Amino acid sequence: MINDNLGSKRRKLEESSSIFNVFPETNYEIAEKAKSNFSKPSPDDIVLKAQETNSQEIAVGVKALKLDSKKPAVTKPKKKIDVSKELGVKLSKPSLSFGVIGHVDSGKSTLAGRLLYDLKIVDSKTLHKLTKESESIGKASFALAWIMDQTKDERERGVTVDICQTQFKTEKSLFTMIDCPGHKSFIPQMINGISQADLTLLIVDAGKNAFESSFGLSGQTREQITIARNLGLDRLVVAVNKMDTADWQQDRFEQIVDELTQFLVDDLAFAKEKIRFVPISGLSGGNVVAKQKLSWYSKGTLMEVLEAEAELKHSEDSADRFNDEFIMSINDIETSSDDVLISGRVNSGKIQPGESIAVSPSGDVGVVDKIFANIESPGAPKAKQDRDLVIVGEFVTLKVKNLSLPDNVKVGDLVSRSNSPIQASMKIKCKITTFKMNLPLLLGSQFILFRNNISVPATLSNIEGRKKKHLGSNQDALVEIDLVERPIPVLTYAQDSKLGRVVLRKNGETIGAGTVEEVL
Amino acid sequence: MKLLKQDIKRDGSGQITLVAQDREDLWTLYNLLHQHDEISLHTFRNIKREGKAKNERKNVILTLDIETVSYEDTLRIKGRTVVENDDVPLGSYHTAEVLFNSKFTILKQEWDQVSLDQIDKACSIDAKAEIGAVVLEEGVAHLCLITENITFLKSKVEKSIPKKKRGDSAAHDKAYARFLDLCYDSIIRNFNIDALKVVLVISPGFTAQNLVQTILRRATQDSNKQLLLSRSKFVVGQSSTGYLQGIEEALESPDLRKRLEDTKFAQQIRMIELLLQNLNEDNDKSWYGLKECERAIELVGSVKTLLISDSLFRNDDPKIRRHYVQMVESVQNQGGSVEIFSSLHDSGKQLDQLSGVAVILNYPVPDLDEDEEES
Repeated sequence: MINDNLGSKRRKLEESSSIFNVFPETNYEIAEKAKSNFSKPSPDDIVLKAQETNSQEIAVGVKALKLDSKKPAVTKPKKKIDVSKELGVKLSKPSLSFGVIGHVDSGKSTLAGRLLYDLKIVDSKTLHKLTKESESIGKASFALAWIMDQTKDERERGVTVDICQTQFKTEKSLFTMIDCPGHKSFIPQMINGISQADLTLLIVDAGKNAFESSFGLSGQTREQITIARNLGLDRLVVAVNKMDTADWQQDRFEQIVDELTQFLVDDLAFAKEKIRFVPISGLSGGNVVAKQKLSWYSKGTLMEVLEAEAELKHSEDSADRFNDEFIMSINDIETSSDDVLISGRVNSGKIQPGESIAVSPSGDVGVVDKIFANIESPGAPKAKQDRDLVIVGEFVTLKVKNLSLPDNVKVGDLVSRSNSPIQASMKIKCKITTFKMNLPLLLGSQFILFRNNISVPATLSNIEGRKKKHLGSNQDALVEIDLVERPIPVLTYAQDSKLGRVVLRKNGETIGAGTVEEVL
Repeated sequence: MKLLKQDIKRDGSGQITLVAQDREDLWTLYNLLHQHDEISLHTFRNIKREGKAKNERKNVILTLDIETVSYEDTLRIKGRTVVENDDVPLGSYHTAEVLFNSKFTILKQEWDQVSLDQIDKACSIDAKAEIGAVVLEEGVAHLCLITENITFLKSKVEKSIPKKKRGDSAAHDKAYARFLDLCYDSIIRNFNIDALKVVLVISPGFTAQNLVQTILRRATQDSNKQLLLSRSKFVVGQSSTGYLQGIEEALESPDLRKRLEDTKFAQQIRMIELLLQNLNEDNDKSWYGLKECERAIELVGSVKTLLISDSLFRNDDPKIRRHYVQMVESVQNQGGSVEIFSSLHDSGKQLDQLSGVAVILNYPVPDLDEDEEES
């Protein structure tokens, strides 16, 4: 008891003495602080000054603010190059990217493999090895397809699962070929592939009943070509494949041409002169690169047709198209220790190593360290090429440094210059057209929204100017769409005719397509 | 939920004593408790004692006149005390959280049939069995638990997988295998497989099959006997997406349906499908909207099923609530069936968007939506 009392007394004493001791010191500190405070502008001054600056500037500043509040510096290209000369070289050669689509087992991958083999991009040693491997599991006819189909699933099951992209040069042009899966389950990947193409290469199987079933209601031909058309691809080459199984009969070819033309022109509003038909055999190679002797056909091999299309696109492209704002959509990402390899297609504008970029929606800012391309030429071994400048339409890999959160970069994100980041949103207004649906699309019902190579769950939140709370088949409507999981970077159709398009799918059916009118 | 005591008088007023056991029960209570019901329960309150600097946190029994109820993983009840207590003066505000395994008593002026049915259901053990679901596609997987009333996202696995490249798919294969391993780890962490009725593994393409293979391979490696014994619980389904909406899509397969036949979850999805089908065909056999449904109920014998969302019974105005209860009762009296949808499932959310109430009719009745003045 006594001890306790003593202790508390002592504490009191100490407390009071400490007050006396410390007081002058604090006083001094306060005086010092007061002095320094008055050397700076007063809080009122700061507020007044801030108010003076125009509000828009603040808004821009707020947008650019990040958690670590490091201000993104806009950096200049590393190397000084003669941009106009470089552009001249780039613009002199036609380039074309085409997506290979069609019903499952119509021979897309085999044709793609055949094209690469006959153009000597793939050497005979490689093919020989694949032939042996495929024979050993009793799938000899798959050897050419295995050039494109790499993974275990794809080889064992004999279907393409994901897209495979190859860039190659011929004497006349530069091509990017995107082999898409044809199976119904992999339509999302097919959309990803075709959204990077300028032209659709549709493969149909000319075999007995094969064309009919692929074009029928359960077949994939209709859905795929409808999607491609709604993503803005208005040029089409149809390769009527496996003509060898139909004895290269003119009747069969023309029957298919008639039936397809009717559907493409009447239902999908293709311009008749923008569709080309070529009879081929991917497996034997007839009329792909090598000419097949046919008395009734004289419009060139598939390769010649593609080169003509490239030429045509080249003549139509505007010569100053690289002057637009730089935008690239990300298609593939590889992360190494401190930098990120971002691959994709340059949607517009141009970029050089050393320039700073922003990734939307994460808002992360980094610097392009290097740019690679991967173009293969006949007879030459595969190798990456360093680039000093890339422009719209090219498929490239950017090596990006200084991103603060490399893991936040996702496939489908958009890359732009750091001083003009792209807006990301959870809500958009779209003009859509519904297709034939089994069930109506209700307000609030979920579906998958496809935009370029992105697919996210979304719901219908409003139908404008309508009393009913659902959309039926084949209707046009202006709707508001809410994204469920995360914001995505959005551009309106007016800003970008390719990135401003959307496709809607639900329960494995394509239920509608449209354009982005407004970012909300 | 456990029912301990029930004492309801002739006029419908009375009290029921219950014990909540899981999240599902909280949702039932959220739908059950309305403004001006009374609840007496154990709760913690900071009590200030004279002469003491610090508040004392004390477990007290309070009876509250309910003002608001909120549900966000936990159930919080705000109200004023109506019974005097040594520590808490009459009429003080208090917010209580409903605790698991602790009894409480609800006092209502009027217990309606819908409320009593809700308690009945919550107390039956059969309805409690949960379904596990893994919905995935290459690079993203969603793990969720589906109970009678709730679809609950337990965990999400994300891993970016590089695309295959011609001539070299090693990076893709490696990342893909790693992704499946991550899914397996997450399943072990988040699911109590023994307690689950079935685990749906749903994906586009072959990812689901590959995951099940990975699960069995890893379980063998880890000699996880329990998991290997319940291998028949894993059911593979097809969908077109790896997002949650894939579950509903996969249920279209007859095989999966059979496995889930007796669950309310699957039944309600089918019900909504039927409703939408009728709407799509415009065959006048389905209507939604309060007025439309009321008119249908007036035509005795026309209603086959009344679909109604639990959110409607959550209305604080007893008159409106009573109106909905009457609708339910009159359909039942006419021999029709009634399905109450939980707004925590997608099917219930869809119904909510359609004003929360809809009918499927025995025979077509046109023009239920026309205003009387017009007709």
